[in-house]
Amino acid sequence: MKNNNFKFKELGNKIKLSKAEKEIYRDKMLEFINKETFIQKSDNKKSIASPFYFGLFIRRHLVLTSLVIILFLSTGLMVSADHAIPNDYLYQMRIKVIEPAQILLAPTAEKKNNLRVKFVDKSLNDFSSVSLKENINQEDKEALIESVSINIENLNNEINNSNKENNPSNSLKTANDLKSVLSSHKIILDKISETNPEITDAEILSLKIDEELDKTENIINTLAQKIQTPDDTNILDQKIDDQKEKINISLLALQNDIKMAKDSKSNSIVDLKEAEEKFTKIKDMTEEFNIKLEQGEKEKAIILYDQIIQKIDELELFIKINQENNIEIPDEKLENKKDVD
Amino acid sequence: MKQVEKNKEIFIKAYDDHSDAIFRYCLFRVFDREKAKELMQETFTKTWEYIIKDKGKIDNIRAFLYRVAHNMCVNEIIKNKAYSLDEMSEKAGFDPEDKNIRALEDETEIKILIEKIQLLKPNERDLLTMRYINDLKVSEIAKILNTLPNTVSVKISRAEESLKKLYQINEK
Repeated sequence: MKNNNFKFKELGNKIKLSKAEKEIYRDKMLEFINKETFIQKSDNKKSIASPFYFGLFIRRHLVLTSLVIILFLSTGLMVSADHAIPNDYLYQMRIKVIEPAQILLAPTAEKKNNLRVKFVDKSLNDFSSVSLKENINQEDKEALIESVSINIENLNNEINNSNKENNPSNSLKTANDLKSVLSSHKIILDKISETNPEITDAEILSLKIDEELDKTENIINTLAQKIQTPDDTNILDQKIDDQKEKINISLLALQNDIKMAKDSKSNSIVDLKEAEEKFTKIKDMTEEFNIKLEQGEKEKAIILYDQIIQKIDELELFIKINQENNIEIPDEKLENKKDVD
Repeated sequence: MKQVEKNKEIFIKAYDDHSDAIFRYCLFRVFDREKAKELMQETFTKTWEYIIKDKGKIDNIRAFLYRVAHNMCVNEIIKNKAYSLDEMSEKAGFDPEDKNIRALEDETEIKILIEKIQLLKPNERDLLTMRYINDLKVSEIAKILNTLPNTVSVKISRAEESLKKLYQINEK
């Protein structure tokens, strides 16, 4: 291989764009970024602060929001807005008023975080389901992406704060919940951009989720290391017991899903062989998880648990999408085979 | 406004630093020089759109560029049917006007290496391209592929084994 490494390096040095090509492409890129920046600048509308009476209050946003909510409750508008989806006229109200207000009024930090995760999930779900049917208008799309970004940013801040307050177990739970939601939606968005390349925003959103997943994963790794301290031993043991139970329940549920898919024969379009392979892989990982615990490598077991849960979520989604939607699941093996052929 | 200018500066620097590497990465994915140039350009275009339209903050632009390039190449492969080996060699037939490449074509060993790389699975090809041709660290590849460095090391060893086997077949 050493000889090959040398050849590889030689290849790397020799295969590049010619000077002329590089100049042409660079000029084109500069032209593009100048044009795009100009469009962006002209799109930017500066908002002017209103000389509103409530501006006199220090916590004016809280007072204002409460008043708006009381008003909505009396008219039933809030209920309608809460169910609005992109392209509905009440959607902006849901994203900009109802959801932030619900978070604001949640009594504890934990409940606030649960709501944030729920809203990220809901927004991404809305994006996928609506964009498959019709184009989402620009304003709603921007509001949706902004809402997802803000909620994720706030969640990351809260996780860090909670960690500083020596509550890493809570932080880890929230971070795992967020990761699970983001991973599931990434699969859906990737599938959408593969099957419907015209929905370019799906790809952009998927890349954004990728970035966020990286951050969340780093947080999880840091937290998992922190949890492995003597002070937290009891909490950790309790946590591991919970994890074991969760894995067992999920495995049973999955086994049942696969069995049902097998029994339904003609109507099922699930690729059973692939589902079973994925299931076997999860079982192998679970065995590894148990071995790590027996060997006292709790930290590694926690990280592995996270991966197992992600795989379980993916398999659940795999079965669900195959059964309910027209979207086909990517077949990496087929792609590889095609390439080699 | 200052932020936009700063982003522009970082982006142009990234273009100058990484355009060759991204081009090589795409080339060893699609084995078509013209297509690889287009994919490289599109990778940077999409990244810029991401930066300005979504006000996205990118922590590691190199990793981000590879991820976009990977997605673009996968889409490209899905769109087009797989080429035969002869077609691939013909299409990859690096620009004959380029002096460097003409010299490269004279080197039989490297020619054989290119042929062997084409026979590898796409994932193996990706890993070897990133690790040995573009000289990325294992930790950087792990970040790009959203996986653990240990996993990447194992996969690279496997890809090296596959390449070795391909050489052995040739010798026999």
